[in-house]
Amino acid sequence: MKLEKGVRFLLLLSLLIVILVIPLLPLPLYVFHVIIILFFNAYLCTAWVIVGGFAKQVSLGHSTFVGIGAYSIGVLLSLFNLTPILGGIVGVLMTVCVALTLGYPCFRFGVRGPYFTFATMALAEVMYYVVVSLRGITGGALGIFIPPGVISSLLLLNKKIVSYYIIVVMFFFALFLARKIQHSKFGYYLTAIREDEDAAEACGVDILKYKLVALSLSAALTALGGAFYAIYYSYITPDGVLGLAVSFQIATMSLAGGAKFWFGPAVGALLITPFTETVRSMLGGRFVGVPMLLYGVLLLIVARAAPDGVSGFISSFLGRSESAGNTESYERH
Amino acid sequence: MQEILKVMNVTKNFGGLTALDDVNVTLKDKEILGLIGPNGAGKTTLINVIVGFYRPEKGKVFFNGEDITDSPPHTKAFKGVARTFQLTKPFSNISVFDNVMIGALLRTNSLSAAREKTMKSLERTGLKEVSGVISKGLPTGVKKRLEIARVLAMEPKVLCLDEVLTGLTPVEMDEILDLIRSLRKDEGLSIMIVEHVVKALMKGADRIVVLSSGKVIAEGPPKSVAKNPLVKEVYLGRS
Amino acid sequence: MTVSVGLNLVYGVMRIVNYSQGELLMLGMYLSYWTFVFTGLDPYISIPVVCAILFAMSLLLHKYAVEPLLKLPYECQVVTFVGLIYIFQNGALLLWSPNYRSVIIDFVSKSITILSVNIPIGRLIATLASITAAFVLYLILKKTTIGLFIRATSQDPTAASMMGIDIKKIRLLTFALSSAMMGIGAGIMLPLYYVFPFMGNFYTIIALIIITLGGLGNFIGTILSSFVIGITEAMVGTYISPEIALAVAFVVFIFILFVRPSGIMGE
Repeated sequence: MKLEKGVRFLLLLSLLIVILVIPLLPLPLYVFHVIIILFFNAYLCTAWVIVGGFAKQVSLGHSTFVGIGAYSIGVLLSLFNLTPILGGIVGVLMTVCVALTLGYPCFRFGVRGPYFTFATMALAEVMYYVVVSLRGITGGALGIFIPPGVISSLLLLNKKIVSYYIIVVMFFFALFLARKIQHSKFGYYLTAIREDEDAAEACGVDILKYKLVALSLSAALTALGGAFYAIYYSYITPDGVLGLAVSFQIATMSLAGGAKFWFGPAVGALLITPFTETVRSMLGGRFVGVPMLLYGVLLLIVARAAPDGVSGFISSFLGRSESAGNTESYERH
Repeated sequence: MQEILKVMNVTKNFGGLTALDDVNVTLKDKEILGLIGPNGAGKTTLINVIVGFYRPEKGKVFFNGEDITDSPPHTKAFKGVARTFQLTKPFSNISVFDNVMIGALLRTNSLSAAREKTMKSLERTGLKEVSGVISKGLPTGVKKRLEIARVLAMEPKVLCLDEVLTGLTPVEMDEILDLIRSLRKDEGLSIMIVEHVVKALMKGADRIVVLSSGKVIAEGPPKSVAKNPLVKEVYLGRS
Repeated sequence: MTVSVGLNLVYGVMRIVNYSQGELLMLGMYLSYWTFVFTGLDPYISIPVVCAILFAMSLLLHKYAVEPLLKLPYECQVVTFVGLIYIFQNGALLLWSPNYRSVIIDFVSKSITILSVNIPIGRLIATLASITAAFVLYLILKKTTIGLFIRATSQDPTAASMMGIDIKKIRLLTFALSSAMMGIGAGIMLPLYYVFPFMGNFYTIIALIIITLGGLGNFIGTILSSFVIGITEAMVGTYISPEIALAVAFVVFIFILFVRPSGIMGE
């Protein structure tokens, strides 16, 4: 069921227009916020899938990168009064360092599969505790407040609208990047690593190098996401950007959406964000556990019924499979 | 004839077990060398050492005169030493075509160049018709050919085939043997075949090396090895 | 310690990692608590009851959530168990509110003095109980027929099934057994600490660290390494700070992971 090129183009164009126009619609403030978060989650998930899906190095520690990205901005701003742009750059550099520090020993010494996941989980939790205990620098459990500052005052428009466009651009950037990777030699090699590491090595794939690149790239993008968080919310707390809970969300949204495809995680974020955001709005209510409980049930169902994620399910339903992006066959050439 | 691959005094231990004991094997340029021996003789271990999945405790491996003993598998693959696996290891969830692409990408960064190589390789191994099939569901014989196709796309100089004939019907075996012979003739590959099915190698190989309990016990043209009493003893009752 | 043993057991037999093990502990503790409230039974005494309930629960769990994972790729494990974590945590939240609960028993906080070291009785009981439980489990694995079957299935499922062992039942049993172990852990922990819906994560992580250290699938290794971690954490926690203790444990963990990826006594 392949749509004609013309039809596809029109659909995409109208989607694009809708997206561009959203801030101008008279939506309730809360709904607008959820839409922003939707793009934010989709961005984070797409960043995650580069290492967690393409290469299947399932990381439950990505919250570390979000946290570093966010806190770099916060700390540099509150302690040294450095602009967020510098904070962002520092954040990205730091996350890449952390990623390499974690990744190199792991990948060099064959820490694979579940072991790697454990290591990332431990990293996430430890980072949480470290940040909380360094009260002097990070404000401990109370977090850091980010005053509006230079950038926002330069942008005379409503902060929310600007944030919206920023995150939309970031998201599409990540999306195109993921797509480009999947259809490149890099993507092929990551797929090889995912399917069978030993066979990949025998085919000449430098596993260490490619895993590290994937992890670092994913980390760097995630850090930028953290930076966005800091600026958007103006307030960073350990619970918001660090710890296992955040990691779980990123990973499960991506996996539920489909970790083999460049658009999979976005789909996952789209489906699941409503759950997590409903929780936030119910804070303190009597039924505050319900949405997450349903989320859990949803995950169980997806794991069982759609192992390749929702997008995998839809994809096989439509009779195509995107594997390393192509599933080429001889005839097409 | 020039020696393209040389295994010198290689010893490999696993804990208390000596899998390879001072093994010397030479592969000459454009030669088809058969490596036979009973189960547990160390044949696959030898391939693993040559290709870099294991490091030997003692000894060296030379390729074209260069010491490659300590190089990791992917470097050796790039240099031109490639292998297939005894229990086939295709990339299960992707198509045959994509499987071979991964091999083809070894020597090029361009996807279109890789596609060319892939197509050639698929033609060579007769896999054109199944190129779009996801490799998980393929029968063994086809998977074995897929491994060869993938390795071919890597444009190696030395090919180590690990029990590539096992589990095939006699007809399939002949086809693969023909393929191997043509690989030597047309592409100029030097091939080391590890096999259990000795009869096939008697026809196909230029020389045979017999391994038993980690030691080389016989070496030479097929006819003389077949007459060797030591070899017969080691193969008591086997084909 | 009991958490890590339970986790390890499941992995050993099924090669599936139960990330929600900590949550099972949490549930056990809640069960223990409510048993106490409704029947006045001391948590130590109600251990068998709690174990039985957890055992039964996990039979269901296994059939619907865990068994299917055997055929599915690794990512699905993560999704499933995180899903379970959400369900358990939020279920507990809904049912029992986020308040901390605890049970106060008199003699628990008193200490005895052994070899001039002051040991609170509660901790002593906890340690002894864990060691006993682990020991009993060890005996079961080594000496009984069922234990033999479990070990066989763990080493080579295909061969085991060909020998007539019903591996499906064994897997079920193993999973249920590991959940039941949480019951023991729950009984001994409740008097010492408090329970609240989100406490599980912490224990799961420690358990994961411990079993990786000791070697996934290796039983003795688990026991040894839980001592190592326990002692390290206690020392650091006392002399430096509790939060850093976890970080230190992590560093030790990472270090060992690289030096010996399959753990101290890996498989």
